[in-house]
Amino acid sequence: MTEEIILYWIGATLYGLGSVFALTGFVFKKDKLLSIALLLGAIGLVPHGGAIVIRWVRVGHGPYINMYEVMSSDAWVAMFFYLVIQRRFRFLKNASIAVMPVIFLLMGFGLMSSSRGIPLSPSLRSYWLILHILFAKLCTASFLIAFGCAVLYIYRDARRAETVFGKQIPSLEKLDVFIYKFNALGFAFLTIMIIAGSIWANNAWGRYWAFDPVETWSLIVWLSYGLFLHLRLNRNWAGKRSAVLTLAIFILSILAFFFIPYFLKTVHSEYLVR
Amino acid sequence: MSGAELFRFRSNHPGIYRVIRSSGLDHVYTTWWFLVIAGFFSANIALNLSGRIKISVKQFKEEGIPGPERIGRLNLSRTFVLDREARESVKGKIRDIVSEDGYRVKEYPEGLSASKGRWGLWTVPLFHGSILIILTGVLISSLTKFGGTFEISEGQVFSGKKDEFISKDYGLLNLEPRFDFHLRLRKFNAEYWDAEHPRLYQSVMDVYKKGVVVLSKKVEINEPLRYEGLSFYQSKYHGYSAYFGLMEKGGGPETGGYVNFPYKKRYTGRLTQKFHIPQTSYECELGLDPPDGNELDIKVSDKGKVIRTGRLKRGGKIDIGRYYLVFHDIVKWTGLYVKRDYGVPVVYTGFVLLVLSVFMVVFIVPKRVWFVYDKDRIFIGAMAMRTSAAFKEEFEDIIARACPEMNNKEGGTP
Repeated sequence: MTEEIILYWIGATLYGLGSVFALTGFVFKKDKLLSIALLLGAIGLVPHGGAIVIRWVRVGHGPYINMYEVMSSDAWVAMFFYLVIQRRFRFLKNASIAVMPVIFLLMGFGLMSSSRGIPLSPSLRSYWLILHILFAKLCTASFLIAFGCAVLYIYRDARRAETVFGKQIPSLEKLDVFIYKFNALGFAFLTIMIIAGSIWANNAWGRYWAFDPVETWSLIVWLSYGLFLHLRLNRNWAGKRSAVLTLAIFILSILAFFFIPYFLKTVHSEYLVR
Repeated sequence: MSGAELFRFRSNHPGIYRVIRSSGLDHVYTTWWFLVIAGFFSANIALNLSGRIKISVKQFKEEGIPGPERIGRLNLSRTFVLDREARESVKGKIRDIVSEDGYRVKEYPEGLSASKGRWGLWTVPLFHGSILIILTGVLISSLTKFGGTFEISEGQVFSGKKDEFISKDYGLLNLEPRFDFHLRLRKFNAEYWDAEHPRLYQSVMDVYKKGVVVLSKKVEINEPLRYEGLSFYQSKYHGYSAYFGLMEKGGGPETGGYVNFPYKKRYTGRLTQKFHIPQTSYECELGLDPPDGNELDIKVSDKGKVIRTGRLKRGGKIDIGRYYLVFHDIVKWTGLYVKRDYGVPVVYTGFVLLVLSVFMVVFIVPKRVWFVYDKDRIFIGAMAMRTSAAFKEEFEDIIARACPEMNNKEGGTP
């Protein structure tokens, strides 16, 4: 237990430092600091991953039962996904100013939740649940990168005339495309997450949809991203409108997935709010 | 809202409760008006879908090459001035490059048309169609579904009769299911990680048809028993049950029955239960000390007056007037939920198509590039569905590779 917590703290600290370096690099326009931020994020994955593995072995199941485990694994997947994607698209390095602080906050949120290990209950033993959770993490990571691009877009859009740092931030056109692409990818992952959850519920309880609050809010998030795609493809909502809408829907999705279980009685509260 | 809360609310606010009941706000998703709204939504999608299919068919079949004017109106278009010799060399090069890039090339006397990801044209109809299929499945569920909960003890048989259910719920058509078979709970297994956390709830069930076991299955949460269109889910966990026989003095036939003790999350302390002894006017009160209790404390009363008390072991009996009440065994009972839902396969079909369509949105982007040769000029136009801006780089790259010698020979828009 102690080793796990120590490693978790080391990971969280490195992510925190990474966030500081990313923001400092961005504010003072030092590309090197952004690179250090990414390096810290990559190093942080090791102790953080170690904490997850130790816990996995100790409690006998994957990191997806209570809020601490969900936050921790979401943060790890999001950081890993982001680092892999930004290796391919180097300009996404700048999105670290939004992505890394959010990941750090996820870690902090996890620390505020109970880290007590809960054994796997019979209803949670299902391959569909694993798919449900895996795609939940992937969609969070994907939406997070779209969110990062949207933040960069708005920053760049507000400073069109400023050219000193302009080289580091990709063009508005490119950011706009990435906002669309990562939202579309996240939408695909979200769709699979909802479907896998629905099939799991049907196998476990004999109903594929029960309008449970988290189910309903997931549907609202899905419809919101669907609206985003419709507006983009049919009404040509691109550019700043698309970026602002992305920020709004991302905040809505965070509220829906992580806060609703605290306020409304739901089948997800059984696990998450403990 | 729990049953008790609902009951309290009903007592405190009878007027509001009547409005809620009459409008169906306590069961919104199975009300006629919700289905009407869902119907309008579906009709809207259906209308939209028919329009989208026409567009997709037209685009899919679209052949030929647009004229220079139409190319000029595209977001991505360029025009170059070339002499005859250069034009001939560029023509061959263009064909090779777009073929290399995976484009389907079709040549015409006036130029060349290259397309890629044509199946992506079906993404939108497929997406809307899958939602329509899901909604159709939901409608079928809402109309025809049946669900019922029942409790069953080890050794007991369930045959789907009306009085065997604790509760039932129906779709709008109130269709009863057919039970041409019997279920018997052979054994119930419960395992725990610790005092608080369950590890396994498992009902070992036998399905009997015409007196013969046709199927045996361990029913667990996530592992329902499916037979003849009905699915049986492990829903409640377990409690204790006393199995009695009622035997007429003088050797009459014995009738048996189970008395279930109430369910508790943790079985500590004494369990009690009252029941009416059939064919008599007697009430009986039982006391049991689980989980290892093998003996029952029993108190029989007639119109409030205690007539017998005692402690019974397995096989023991108690004299109650014309009958003997025989205590046979303490067994476990569990609760199952039985469901029939014709909508599920339809909904699942919609799910598969929906997943396919959302991935097509991301990964299959229909793209077209046209090259039109006209006297001393070459017109190049391109379009991509959904991501025109992202396609710009690819378009420029094709031009750069196909026509490097044309870089300084731009001829303006056509």
